[in-house]
Order: sequence, then C-alpha cells, then structure tokens
Amino acid sequence: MGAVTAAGTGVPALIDALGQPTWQPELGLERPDAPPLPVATCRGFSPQPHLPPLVARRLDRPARLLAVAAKEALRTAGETLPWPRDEVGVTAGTANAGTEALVEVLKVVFLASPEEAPPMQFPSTVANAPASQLAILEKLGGPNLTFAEKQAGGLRALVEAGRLLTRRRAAAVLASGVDEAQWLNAEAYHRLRFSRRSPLGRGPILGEGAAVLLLAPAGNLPALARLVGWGAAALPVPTHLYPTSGEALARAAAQALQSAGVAAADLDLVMSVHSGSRPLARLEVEGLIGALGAHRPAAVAVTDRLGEGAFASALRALVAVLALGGTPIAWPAPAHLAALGFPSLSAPPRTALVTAVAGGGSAVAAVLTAP
Amino acid sequence: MADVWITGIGLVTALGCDRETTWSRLIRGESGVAPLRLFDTTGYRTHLAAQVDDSCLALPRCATAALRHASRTSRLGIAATAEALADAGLAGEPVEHRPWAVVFGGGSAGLFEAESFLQRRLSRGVRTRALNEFLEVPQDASTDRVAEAFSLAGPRLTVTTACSSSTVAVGLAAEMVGGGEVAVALAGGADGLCRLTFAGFNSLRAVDDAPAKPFDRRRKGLNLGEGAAVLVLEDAHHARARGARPYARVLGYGITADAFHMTQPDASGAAWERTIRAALADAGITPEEVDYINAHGTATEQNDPAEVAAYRRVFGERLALIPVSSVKGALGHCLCGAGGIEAAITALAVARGMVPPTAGFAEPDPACPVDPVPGVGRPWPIRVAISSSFAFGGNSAALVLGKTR
Repeated sequence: MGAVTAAGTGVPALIDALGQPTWQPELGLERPDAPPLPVATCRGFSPQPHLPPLVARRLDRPARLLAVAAKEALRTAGETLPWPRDEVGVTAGTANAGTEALVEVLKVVFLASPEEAPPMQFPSTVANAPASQLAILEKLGGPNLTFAEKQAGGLRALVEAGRLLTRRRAAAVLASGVDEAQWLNAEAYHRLRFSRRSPLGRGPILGEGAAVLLLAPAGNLPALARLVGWGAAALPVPTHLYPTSGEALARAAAQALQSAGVAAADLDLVMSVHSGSRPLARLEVEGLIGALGAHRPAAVAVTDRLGEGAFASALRALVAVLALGGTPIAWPAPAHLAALGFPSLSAPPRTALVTAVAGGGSAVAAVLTAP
Repeated sequence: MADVWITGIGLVTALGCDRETTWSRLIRGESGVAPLRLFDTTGYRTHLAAQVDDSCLALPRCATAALRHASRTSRLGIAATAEALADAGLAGEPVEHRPWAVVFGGGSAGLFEAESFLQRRLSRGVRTRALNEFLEVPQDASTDRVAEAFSLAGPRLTVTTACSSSTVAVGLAAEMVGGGEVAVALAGGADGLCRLTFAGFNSLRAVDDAPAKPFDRRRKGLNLGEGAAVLVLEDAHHARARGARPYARVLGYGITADAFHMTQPDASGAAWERTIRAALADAGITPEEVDYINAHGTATEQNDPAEVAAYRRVFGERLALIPVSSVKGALGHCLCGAGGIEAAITALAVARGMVPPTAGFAEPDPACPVDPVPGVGRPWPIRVAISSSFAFGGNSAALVLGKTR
C-alpha cells in the first residue's frame, strides 16, 4: 500500500498521525483573488526523491500524487514484480483530477486566444491522466480504468479491481483514489455551504491525496488483508446532494456482507463515511442500522480530518487494512455513531466494512478481512 | 456467465434525434459534420463539428424536475435513455426505484455550461452568480441525471477513460448482467461539445479544417462531435421471459493499457493487438470468426495506420476480407460518448446484416490497407463484430458483439 495525505508522504506518516488522538491537519488552500479556503492539502509534498525531476516535470499534481503513492505500494512487491507488467492493471477513482489543467487551458482560451491553448497541458485535463501516466511510468499494460463517482470513486476503484481479478482480466491491480486540492472546486464546495462551518469538527472539509492498494490473488506475496466481498446500490437524487435516506447504503452494505459470506454480527470494524456533514451522518446511521441491525462494531472515521473526496474512500480502505494488520488507531469513533453505541477501536479487528456514499446517491461497500 | 442480450437502443447524434434517423442517414452515406453553431469559433483553427440539433434536447415527455439546470450532455443522455427504454419495452415498467444498473462513460458532462461560469468567474471574482452552471462538472453528473430522470436505484458506475469510456461501460455492464448482479443494465454514455475540447484538439493539431476522411490518404485529422447512445443490456432469460427481441449479444470485451504515451499511439500496432486479442479471448472467439470491424478510425495521421497495423497483426491476410468502417466521418468524434454510439451502430449492423460506410473516404492509403466501405452501407452477413476504441492515455478497449441464435 501507499499513501500521500495531509499527514505526509508515505504510509508511516499516516500511521504516525493515526496514533495521535488529537492530530489535526493544517488547513488552507490559496485562491487567486480571495481568502484561502479550509482544505486539507498535502502541504510540503514533493515528488522528489520519489520521481526523477524530468519525469515529475511532465506530470501534473494528481499524477505526481498517484505516482508517488503507487511507487510505495509497488515497493512492497519487491524489486521485481512477480507478474508480467502487461498483466498489472490500474484502477483509480477521482473527483477532480484534471480540473486545474482544465482551468489553466480555459484561462488561455478566454483571456488570450483559443489558438494559444497549451497543447502540453490539454492531455492532463482528462480525468484518466493520473492512472494513464502511472501506467506509462511503470510500464503497466493491464486494464487501466478511472471511475468518477464523486466521494465513492476510490472505493469503486477498489471493488472494480476485485472484479478485474475475479474475472482474470489482470494478474494484479493497483487500486487507488486520487484528488488534488483545486481552488475552483473548493470554492464551489464552500459556496454550496458544505464547508461553510469549518474549521474541523463543525463541518466537512475537502482533502487532497492519493491512496493505493496493491491487489493480487493469494499466493505470490504475503497478504496484508483480503477483499472478500462488495456491493453497490443507489438512490436517484440530484447530482450534488446526498440522499435523505440511508437505504442505498444499507443495501450496498448488506450485499457486501452477503457476497463476503460474513454475518453482520461477525463484523469488528466499520470505517465511517463521517466527514462532518450532518446529512451524511444521518444517512449513515440509518444505513448502518439497516445493514447491521443491533450489532455495534468499532467505528473509525478519518475523512473528517484528512478531508473529503474520491481519494478519501480509498484511504478508508487503506486504514482498514492497517487496522486489520494491528496498527493502533487512536482516533475515536465519530460522535453520531458513538452515541448509538459504536465504540472506538481498541483491539485489532478481524473483519472490516468500508463504505462510501456519493453526491447523486450512489453507495458502495466492501468487506475486508485479516489474512 | 449468462447470455447478455442488447434489447434496446437509443441514439442521439448529429445525424438525427433517434436511432432510426441516425441509422438510415448513416447508411445512405450522409454526414452530420457542419459549421459549429454552439459557440463562436472565431480564433479557432477549425469551424466544423458534428453538432446535435437543439430540437433533440427538448425532451417534452421528461419530468421537469429532472431537467432543471440539466446540462446539454445530460439532456443528450436522457433523450437516448428514453428511446432505449421504449425500444426495449421497458418504459412502462413501474418507476419507483428500478433496480437496474446504469453504467455510463463520462467526460465533458456539464463543462459547456461551466465554461460560461468560469469565464465570468475569472473576471468578476468570487461573487459570480449562477453557480448551478458549475454543478455538472463531475464526469458522473450526467449518469446521476439519467438515474434521477428514470428512477434508477441499482449500481451506478461512471467510467472515465477518455475516448474508450463508453466502450468500457458497455463491457462492464455486460459483465454485471452476465454475472447475475443485475438483470438489466443501461450502458453507454453521452458527451457534449465544449470549448475546452475544441481548443484542446485544435492545439494538438489533431483536427481537420474540412470534413474528416478516415483511412483516406488525404486525411488530416478528426472533427469533434457530440451525441449519446444507450444500450439496454439484459439477461437473456429475463428478456425471453418478457418476450423481448434482441439486436445482438455481447460476447465479451477487452481492456488494456498501451503504457506508451498520453496522446501518441504505438505505431507498430502491438499495444492495440493486445486489446483485440483480449476481447476475442474473453468472447471465446477466434479471429477467423470475425465478419466486421467498427473501427476507432479517428482520421488522424498517426492513429489510422497504427489501428490497421493492430488488425493486421491479429487477422493477417484475412483482414482484406473484413469490412472495417469508421462512423466518425459521419458522426464526428464524440469522445467519451463515441464508444457507446459505435457499439450501438455495431449492434444494428449485426442485427440488420448491413455494414455502415466510412463517410469521407475516397482515396485509399497504402498505410491503411483495409476495406473501409466507401460510399453507402453494404449488405453483409455478420455473425461476429468488433467495436474498438483507443483513447488518450492509452486506455484501449474493444467489444465483441454477436448475432443471437
């Protein structure tokens, strides 16, 4: 696994933050003509020494974030990958990769002339650029898929990686989520009142980062965890709103548990979708009660601190893998779940449920178990 | 894996607001490429595009709420979905939370509208009004709009792999139906014209200032287009039980990464050979069984020969006997919507025993030794057909469709 987050570059930096109960990120994203916005950015991130300068120069920020996180994940597979590189795929979920490049190209179109649109920057406007650049960089010729599902994109990438492996379309897959902190997106998020009541603890914040999990069939490498089941469902609501009910989340979670062959009562950990959004907290309560009944596993939230985005749902899966491996997590259960009896994590879990809910109504769930 | 049928098709293109108009004009060799009317093209190198007529976006039968602030791209997707569901005989099904999947390719989504917002934002600052114009920027916004308009409560996926997006979407949806996750999936995608893609492809010098000429030795590049296609994919048992008639079967698909360059193809064809072979292997089909190829055929200088090279590596000398046509000369390059549109055209070709022509083709190129079906459509029995898409970033995909028994 590999990660670049507001906690720093690399999984050890994340583990360090997870071990501190009061850890909080430094917030702030500059805008060209207005005060900064509260975003959990990867402050101080540098592609060096992870990427050669000439390589880093041709990548935009989300591609750099993903490449650095992927390099960390690939290191766990050793110097030489145990699979042909043509059979190693990449899945990525992103909510905003390409936006900064898009804004830069359009600035030239609007403020100078369409004829001066920069050809070097145009290819970075496509959301699949980070995953494609990663494939080019690492010579990975397997399936290369990018998913747009807003906040659920990273978890979607994980479950679709599972599907690729199950259908034998790839020998291994780097499943990932990646987002960049981009001022126009953050401004829209702020103006829609999602982050109006930040700083932390009183409203959601956007985040930035990349989280990568290397998935492969059992056998070639020692496993950190197993992806044993997944599910997805949706409710039809406007594209920028959460559903008012937890029904889709409940269906997705129940499907995931069923496909994993795991009873709700055997679940030890729920990775909460909690971002600080009250509507999301309400629907999570309804969804979890719908799927788990009276069972109350431990709950861990990381998105309220490390920031919301497609990368955040992949990051929740990564933190679940850490927890399943025995990494202590000192961040307490979110208040809305603690009030219902979901305890904080106090012992290494054996089984974890990771969920995601996207604006527009899509819900995705996955079940992970200790190896 | 269960048998997966295509039981409904909706198409909105520059040739027509519906499937049959598009098909009949396409077969007659007509082109939808014309001077762009959507925005002022002063300052751009080219002024042509395959633009959908605004009358196709009126959607009189759709609920007003679902259309409120809906982008041009979303309206394209909603129009194609309405036609596909009616064609499949599913429009009259109970509308409360239909458990069907929707799997779309997404790209520009609401970018055309967002561009207007951004243009004002850059000059007027943080208080710029009409933020609603920015809300459909996420690539999955049109998928959400379609789900909202038709009350779809099953799994919802948006693939964004540039020009192969909706090809992958059809493949993934077929896998979900074939694997028993859902009985019905709506697959395809929509993409609308916008200034970003127009300026971007201009800057790459990848556009022709005249109508595009795929596989022709005079080719200079593509014409951008817009449109939508939605295919209703259905478990064959489910379809038979309700008396639905299929256009074709989805036999399999292949996806690979070129891992070569963001915008340039591997001229040897080796990368795309892997894509085609992966699709054939997934379908359990040998190269000898393929009767028609609906090519990516962008008409760019480098793309067409690389694509033909890939086919030669797979089909050898037999390639000369297989019609290989590109609809991009008629419909433009609809980017993330292109693969769905081409899958729909390929399914119609399979069902009707008729291959569409390559509009714009007149002079053969020794670098592209294929039969591109010049002029008008050609009656041609098709048991198995391939629809290929090769995208920015090297995200390559191919579908294998077959005749139903």
